[in-house]
Amino acid sequence: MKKLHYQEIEGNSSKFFLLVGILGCIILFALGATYYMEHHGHHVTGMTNQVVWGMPHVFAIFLIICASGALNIASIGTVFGKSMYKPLARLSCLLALALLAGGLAVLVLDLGRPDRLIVAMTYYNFKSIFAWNIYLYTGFFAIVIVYIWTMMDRTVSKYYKIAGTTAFIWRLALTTGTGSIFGFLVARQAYDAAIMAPMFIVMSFSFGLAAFLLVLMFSYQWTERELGDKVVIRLKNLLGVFVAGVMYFVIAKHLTNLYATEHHAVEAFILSDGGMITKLFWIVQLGLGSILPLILLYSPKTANSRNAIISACSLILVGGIAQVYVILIGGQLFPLQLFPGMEVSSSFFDGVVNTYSPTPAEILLGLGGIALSLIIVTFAVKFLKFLPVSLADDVVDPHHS
Amino acid sequence: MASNEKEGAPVNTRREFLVKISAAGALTITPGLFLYKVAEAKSDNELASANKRWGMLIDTARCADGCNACVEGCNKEHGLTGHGREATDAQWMRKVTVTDKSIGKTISLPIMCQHCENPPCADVCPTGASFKRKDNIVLVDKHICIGCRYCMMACPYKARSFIHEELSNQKSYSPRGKGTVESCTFCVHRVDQDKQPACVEACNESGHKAIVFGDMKDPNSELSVALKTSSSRQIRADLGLNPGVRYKNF
Amino acid sequence: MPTTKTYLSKIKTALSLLVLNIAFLSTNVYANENSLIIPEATKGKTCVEPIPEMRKNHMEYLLHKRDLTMHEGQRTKKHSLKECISCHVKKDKVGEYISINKEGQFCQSCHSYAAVSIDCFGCHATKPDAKLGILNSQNVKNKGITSLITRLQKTAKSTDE
Repeated sequence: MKKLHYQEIEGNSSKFFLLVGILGCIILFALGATYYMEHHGHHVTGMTNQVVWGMPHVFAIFLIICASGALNIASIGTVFGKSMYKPLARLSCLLALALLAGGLAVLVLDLGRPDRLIVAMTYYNFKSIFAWNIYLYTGFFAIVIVYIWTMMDRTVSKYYKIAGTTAFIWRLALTTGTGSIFGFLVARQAYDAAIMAPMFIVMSFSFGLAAFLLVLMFSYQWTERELGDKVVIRLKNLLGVFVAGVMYFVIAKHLTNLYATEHHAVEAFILSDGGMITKLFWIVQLGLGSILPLILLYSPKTANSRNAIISACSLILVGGIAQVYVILIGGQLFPLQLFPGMEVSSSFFDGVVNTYSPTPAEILLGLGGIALSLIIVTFAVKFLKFLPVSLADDVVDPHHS
Repeated sequence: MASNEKEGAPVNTRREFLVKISAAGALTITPGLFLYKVAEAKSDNELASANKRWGMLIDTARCADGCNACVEGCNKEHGLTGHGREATDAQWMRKVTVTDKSIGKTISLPIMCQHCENPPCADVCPTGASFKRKDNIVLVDKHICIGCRYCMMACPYKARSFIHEELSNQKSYSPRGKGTVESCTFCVHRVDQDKQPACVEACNESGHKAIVFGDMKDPNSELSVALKTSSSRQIRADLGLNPGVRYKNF
Repeated sequence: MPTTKTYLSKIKTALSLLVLNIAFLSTNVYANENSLIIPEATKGKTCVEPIPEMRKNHMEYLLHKRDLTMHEGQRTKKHSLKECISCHVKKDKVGEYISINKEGQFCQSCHSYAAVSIDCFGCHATKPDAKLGILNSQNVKNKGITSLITRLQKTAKSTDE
């Protein structure tokens, strides 16, 4: 029986430096873009008084959703006692931390006054879901760091189970909090729904696992470590279930809305008349981001192909960004209903469908968040023992025949 | 009214300052009518009180289609000049044309911050920068606003604007700056001096006299009497926010 | 099996790298070699608090007053930024106010010297309003108020020492 053994990656290959170089460049460009936006003010972005949250928020929310989902692998091992997931737990925690850091960085850098971050830490309005989220995010960092510690240090390993359980409960609360940012907006036709919170949780399962699988497969391929089919197949089958779960919630949400006459207009906008939003919904979110990955993951022809799995994961992530875009931007493009049933017009864009065209600076800031997450993972696996030397089938499952 | 002069905008010269101070002093010894007025006005030291609730009644029958006096009055008072960028320029107040297609009736009315009793903007604000004063004026404390714009997402009336660029030459009584959110303040700087908001004044000057401003908790105020004697409605009353701005003949 | 210590030392290495980077980025701190000249106030020699106290703690007074005015509606002049400006602002040769945050003016001279940025004037007016509020306002057309004011001014003048 082979023993599970963790080892830092060497991190001195040209591939490693190329990766760090590219990620570093993206981060630098993102910082430049931030400076440009903050120096001139937000009028240089596509965001306006009508579409107040734009591309940075799409990326930030997407990354935060991914973060809580990436922790699931560790939770399955610890909370549900599935021994096969345990070797993956360290990377799962690391990725969760890194993705959250990336998402929060984007969120903070898009503030009107990012220099006042200290104000956000010292003034709290406890009725605000945003303020709760500040606690949920910082708590998440603390708990997951302790969780990693209980995995890496045998002297505290007796707290492993309790740390893992706490982290699992905390991440559910965190995603609920993220979903509720929208669910609590009573005024917006497209948001005000309790289903937002559970839907965000299932989205996090799906996007987080897709991100985890990609990072796992690439890091093992580039470091030429062995990654057995058993792990990969198990994870991709689970991923398929999650993707189907997200589709279920999307369908349930839209069908319930279609039943209520007051939501007909906003549903018509998203599902048929929204131009770009409609295309993103049907083609990118559902077609490329849900149905095609399901085919890739389950069709007998491609089910065992690593390339197919990589494609499926990437598509799920792209579909995920599209889904957040449709929810966030789509919901803002549709006009607020000041006088339901009446036609309104004004100098302030009342009653008209708004427009939003993201500028390169905003997109760069968002990509910078992704790059930041990845560079954190890259350095962490170089300096600390996060990755098992081998995840070959006989290592992860000793009873494998 | 005595405190008006005393508290008013900054004083140019020492001479004028003395004139004003003594005017205030004189007022306290002026008998009758004036003493009553003094009792009504809020003094410098006095804090906003929960015994008051400032509100407005807008008579849409008097509000003329095409008249923009209130909006212009507001823009002038607060120095909202705009930068020729419609989508990002601040608008605290706007005229909205509402058409009921089925009966073909059109009315025009101004919409601004509705100063809700239960303001969603204040609920969602992470730092407490969006808040409701004791006398129910909803404000943004720009000192602690971090510019997250969650309040703008939450407001059902689209009453808020984000400042998208650096500003200069602000009014001393109406500080505004890049990266923060702002909205109608009910002209709190005037209200604290017992004066009417700029839009009300402008509307009266235009001759339409469509807006009544006052204390909803004072049963004898012009506003309370007007609210009691006519039927009025709230915009999006279904949300249960109990706005302080009401509309008549609508 | 590696101990916690080895992990800790690695975390330390990573952290010190980070700190080094930050230190590198902040080496170009601005230092003002000029001697400090603070313009004198226009309305007398005494401030609302003893001058050494104001030099040291003016921001505390401003902060306290800020919250009282913003949230509670207290409109007294003492410790208000507007009053600071109206007393310390200078006029140029043609009699126009000079922004208090211009180089060499009251606020800026000291803040440049101490290399502390001021966060007030992104929003706040840097000079008193050109027109007087109620007395000279063009907006006040209400005859009742105007006549009241005229009467008050007359009374004031007759009782003026």
